[in-house]
Amino acid sequence: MFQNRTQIKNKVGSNFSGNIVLPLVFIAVMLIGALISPLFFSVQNLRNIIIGSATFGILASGMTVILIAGEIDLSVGSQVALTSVVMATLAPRSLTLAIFVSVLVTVSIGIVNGVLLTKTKMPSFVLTLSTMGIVRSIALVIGDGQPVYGVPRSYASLANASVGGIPLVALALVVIYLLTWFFLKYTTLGRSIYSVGSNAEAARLTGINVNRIKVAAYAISGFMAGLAGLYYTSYVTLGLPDGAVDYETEAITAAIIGGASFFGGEGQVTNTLLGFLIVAIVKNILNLMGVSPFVQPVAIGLLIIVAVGVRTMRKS
Amino acid sequence: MNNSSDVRESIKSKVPSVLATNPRLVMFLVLVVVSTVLSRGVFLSPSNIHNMLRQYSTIGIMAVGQTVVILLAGVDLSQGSMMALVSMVVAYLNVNGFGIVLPLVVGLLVGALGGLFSGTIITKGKVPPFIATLAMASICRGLATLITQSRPIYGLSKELLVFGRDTIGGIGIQVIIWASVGLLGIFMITRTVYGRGVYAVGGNEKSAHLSGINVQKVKLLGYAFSGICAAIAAIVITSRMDMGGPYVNANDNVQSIASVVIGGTSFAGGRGSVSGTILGTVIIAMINNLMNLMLINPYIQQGIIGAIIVVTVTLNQRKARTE
Amino acid sequence: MREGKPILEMRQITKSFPGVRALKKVDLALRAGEVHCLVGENGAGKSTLIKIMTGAHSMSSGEMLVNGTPRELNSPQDGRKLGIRAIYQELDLLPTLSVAENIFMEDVPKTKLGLVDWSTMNRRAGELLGMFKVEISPHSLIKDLTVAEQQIVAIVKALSQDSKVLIMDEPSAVLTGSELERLFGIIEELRKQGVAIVYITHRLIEVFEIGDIVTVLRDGENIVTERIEAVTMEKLIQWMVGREMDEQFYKETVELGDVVLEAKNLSVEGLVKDVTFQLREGEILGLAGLVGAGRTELLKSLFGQYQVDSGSLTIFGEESRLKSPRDAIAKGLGFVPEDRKNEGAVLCRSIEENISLGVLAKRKFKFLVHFPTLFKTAVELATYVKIRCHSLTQEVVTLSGGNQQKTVLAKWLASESKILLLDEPTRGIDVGSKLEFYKFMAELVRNKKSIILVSSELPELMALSDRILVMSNSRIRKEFMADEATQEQILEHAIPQELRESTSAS
Repeated sequence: MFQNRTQIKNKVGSNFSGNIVLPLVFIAVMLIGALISPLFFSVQNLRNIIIGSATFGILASGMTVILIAGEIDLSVGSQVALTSVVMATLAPRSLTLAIFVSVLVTVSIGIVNGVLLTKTKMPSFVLTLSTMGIVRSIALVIGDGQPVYGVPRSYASLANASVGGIPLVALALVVIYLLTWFFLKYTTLGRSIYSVGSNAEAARLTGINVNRIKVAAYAISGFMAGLAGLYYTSYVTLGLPDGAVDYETEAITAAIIGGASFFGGEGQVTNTLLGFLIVAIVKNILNLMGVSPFVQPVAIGLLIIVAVGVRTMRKS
Repeated sequence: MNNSSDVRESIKSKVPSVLATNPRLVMFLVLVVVSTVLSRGVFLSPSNIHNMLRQYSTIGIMAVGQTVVILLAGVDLSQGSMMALVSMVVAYLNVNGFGIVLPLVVGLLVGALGGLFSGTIITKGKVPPFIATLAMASICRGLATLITQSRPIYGLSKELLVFGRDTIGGIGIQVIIWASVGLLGIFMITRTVYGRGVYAVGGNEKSAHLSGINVQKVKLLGYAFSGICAAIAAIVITSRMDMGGPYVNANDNVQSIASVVIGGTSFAGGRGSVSGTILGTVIIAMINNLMNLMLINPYIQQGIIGAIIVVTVTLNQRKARTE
Repeated sequence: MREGKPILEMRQITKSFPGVRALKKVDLALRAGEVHCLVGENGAGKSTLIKIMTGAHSMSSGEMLVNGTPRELNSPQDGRKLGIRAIYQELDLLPTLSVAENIFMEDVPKTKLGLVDWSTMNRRAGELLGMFKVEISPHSLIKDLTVAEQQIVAIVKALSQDSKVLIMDEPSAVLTGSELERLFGIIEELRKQGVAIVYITHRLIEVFEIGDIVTVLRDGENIVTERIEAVTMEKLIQWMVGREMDEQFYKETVELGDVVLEAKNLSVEGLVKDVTFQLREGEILGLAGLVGAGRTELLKSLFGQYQVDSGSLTIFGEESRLKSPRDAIAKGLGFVPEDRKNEGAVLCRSIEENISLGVLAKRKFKFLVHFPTLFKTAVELATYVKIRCHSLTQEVVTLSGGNQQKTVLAKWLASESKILLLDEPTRGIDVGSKLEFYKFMAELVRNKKSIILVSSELPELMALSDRILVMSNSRIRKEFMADEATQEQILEHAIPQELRESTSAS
C-alpha cells in the first residue's frame, strides 16, 4: 500500500486537483446546458431537474457512506420500491405510522445486510445482490405484483411543493447532505467509518470494532434508502413494487464521480452532491436535446467508466 | 499406488465421503426425493423434467460463461442486460429482412465484443469487475431499449423459432444447446491450455504471470466467453418467446450467479467447475419447480434465490475455514 | 549507566507456529533510559519477539513482567495501556486520511459536545511535527507522503502518547541522512525522559551510534546480550552469521562451460544500477547483500518482470530484450521467488497443475492439453524432487513449506529451464529438506544447468556458490571466488558505502 513511490510525487496534485476539477466539470456541464437550450436556466427546468432526480440524490449520500466504509450496497433500489409499497399500504390508516414503519424496515434491512456481511465475510456485491432480490420479492408479495394505490393526495403533492419558489425537496436535499457531511466529519462514528474503509487492520489495532462500524454504515445506507423511498412514493404517487429498478447504479455513479473510491476510506459527501447534480444535469441536457430517454442508462454506464478511468490514469 | 484390497476399501469408504464433500449432490438427491413425494410422482414424469430443463436452459447457458469469469476471481453483472440487447439486435435484423444467419452472427459478435469491452475496462483500467460490468449492464440496457423505444419486436421468421421450440428426438433444441454449451465449457476448462490458464490466473495472478501466462489475455477471453454465452441465451429466449424483448429481468443475472455459487465455485477464484455449475442450475430449476408444484407465490420464488446464495456462500466459507 | 530494575522483562519466551519454532527460550530485559538494539538476520525472530512484546502475538510459553509484575497481553491495546508501543515496518497508518488524524487516531481531541475538534487536532499535530522539525502539513493525506515521511508520522504518532517502552522496527530502512539524524536526536531526548527503547536495525553501524546495549538473535535464539562498550563490529557480525559448523552443506565441483548469460551495465530505474556480470554453464553464482540491496530486484529484472532501462542482456549468445516473464521463460530461464505463497505456487490448485504450468510455459501445446504427457512429467518430476504427498491431485496449500518449494522447482524443471534464478530457496524449510535441496542443486549443475542463488545465510551461500557477487544500494560492489572469501569480507562490502565512509571518518 505504501510502496508506490510515484503517487507520492504530486503531493499537492491529488488533493488540489480533486477539489478543483469537480466544480469545473459542474460549471462546464451547466454552461453546455445553457448553450444547448435557452430553456435550461428557466425556473421550471431547474425545478424539474431537482424534483425528477431527488431520489437518486438521497440514495447517493447513503451510497457515499457505504463506499467510504469500503463496501457497496446494491439493494437500495429494491428498498425504495419496498418503502413505496409499505407507504401506500399503511398511509391510508396513519401517515405517521407508515413513515415510521417504512424507515424502520429499511434500517432493519441495512442492519441485516451488515450483520450478514460481517458474519459470512462474502463479497458485499454478492450479498447485496442477493438481498436486492429478497427485498424486491417482499415488495412484490405485499403488492401482489401490482401498483398499490392509496397514497393520500396531500402526501403525493409534497414532491411538487415549494417554499418561496424553491422546491421543498431541494431544501430537504441540502439538509440531508449537510447532516451527512457533519456526521462524517465531526462524529466519532463518522471518522471510524473512514478508518475502517482506509485500513481495516490498522483500525482494528486501534481498538475500533470493525464489524460494528460496517453494520452501522449499512444501517445508514438503509436509512437513506428509506428517506429516498418516502420521497419516491410522493413523486410517483403510488406504491410500485417493481419500481426504482437499477436506481443503485445511478447512486453509485454520482458517488464515484464525486470521488468516492471502491477501495474505501475516500470520498466527500459534498463532492457526491456535485456528482449527483452533474449526472442529473447531463440527463436533463439529453432530454432538452430531444435525445431518447433510453440513452440515459448508456450515458450513466459511460460516466462510471470515464470517472473511474480518469482517476486511474491520474494515479499512474 | 494402492494394492487391490485397499482400492476396494477406499471405494467403499468413498461413497459416503463423496456425499460429504459434495453438498450439491446431497441437495440434488434430497430435492429429487422431496419433489417426487410432494408431487405424488408428477415430478419424475418426463414431461415435467423436460419442461423444467427447457425453461432453465437460458439461465444454464449464461451460468456456464459466468463460471469462467468467477473462476477468474471476477463476476459478470451485465449478462442479463446483454441478453436483452442481443435479443433486440437479432429480432431487429431478422424482421428487417436480414435473414437468419446474419442476425445470429451479429448477435454473437455483440456478446463477444461487449465482453471484450468489459474485460478491457477491468484489465487496462483496473476497475473492479463488479463495477465495470455494472456499468456495462447499464449501457446494454439503454441500447436494448433504444432500438425500438422500448417496444418488443414481433413477427420473427419461422426459421428463427427453431432454437426455442423444436425438438430433436423428443429433446428440446434449447436443452441440447445448453448441454452443448455446458460440454464445451467443461471441455474448455478441463482439457485446454486456456482452461489451465484460467485456474492459474484465478488462483494466483502473480504466480501465473511469473509462470509465463498472459494474464490479460486469459481475462479478456473469459469475459468475451461470458458475453457469448449471454448472446446464445438471448437467441434461445428470443426464439422461445417469438419476440425481441428489450426488458431486462434482473433476476436472470442473479440466477446465473446463484447457479455458479451452488455449483461450488468460489468467489475468491481458482476453485470450482463448470460441471458443478450445471448441477447448480438444475438444482435451482428443481427448487423453482418444487415451489410451483406447491403453488408458492411466484414473487416469493424470486427472493428465495437470493436467500439460497447467502446460505450457500456461508456454508462454503464455513467448510473452507474448517479445512 | 544505570543498572536499575527492568521496566519490561521477558523470560524464556518460546513461540511456535505450525511447523516452525520462531523463538526458543529468549530472555530480554529493558531498562528505563536505555536504547536496546536488536540485531539479527531476516527470520532470526526479531519481528516475532516484538509482536509478543506489544501483545500482537501470544507466546507459546514463557513469561513477561512489566515493572516486576507478570502480565498477559492479549491484544495491542493491552500493550498500549501499559505504555508499550511499536512503530512497525509495515506502518499501521490510514492511507486515505490526514496526517493529523493519523497522529491522533487513538485519542481524538473532542469538543465539549463530544464532536471531533479539528482545530485542536491540527494545531497539536502541527506542534508535534514542528518538534521533529519536519515540513509535513497536518492536512496532507498519508498516501501522498513519501515512505520516509510516513515513517516520521508513525513515530510522531507514537510520541503523541505517553510511552514507557518504544519499539522501532528498522526505522532506518526508509529514512535518509538528515531524517535519521533527527530521529537520533529524538531518541536521545526520549532516553533522557526515561523511556526504554528497542531499536531494530540492519545497519550495524547504528548500533554503535545510539545503542547502550545489544542483543543478537539467531534462529530464534538469544545468542548474546552485551553492553555496547564490550562489543566490536567484528564480534557483532560473527554472532549474527556464525552458525554452528555442524550444519551440513553439499557441493560438487563441476567443470564450468561457456558463458550462458551476460549482463552489461544493466540498469532499471531505482532498482538496479549498472550491473555487469557473467554466468557460465554449470556455475552456481551467489548474490550476497543485506535486505534491500537490490538482489531480488536484479533477479526479477533478469526474468523480465521489470523492464530494463539501459544496458544489455545476452542469453545463450543472443542479445535479449525481455518484455515479460514469458519472454524469459522462452529463453530458458526459471525463477523461484522468495515469496512462495504470493508469487511462487498457485496454492489452491493441485501439485500436478502447478508442475504442468512449466510444461505449458514451453508452449508445447497450442490448444489442447495432452493429459498423459502432463501426468507423466508431473509424476516423474515429483518423484525426482521428492515431493512428499498422498497424491499429485492434492492442493499445494496442504503441503509443507519445503514441499511447496520443490513443487515450484519442479515447474521449472518441467519447462526445461537451463538457467535457474533462486531467491532465498531454503528460507523457512526444515534442515532435512535443506540438505536434500543442496544435493539437488548439485545435480542440476552437473546436468549443465546454471544457477543464480540469493541467500541471506552467508555460510550457505559460501558453501554452495562457485563465485559470489556482493550487492549494496542496487549495485554490485565486489566479486569473490567463493573459496577465497570470508564472511567478514563479504559483509564489509555489503554495508552501504556511505555508512562505511561515515565510520572511517568518525
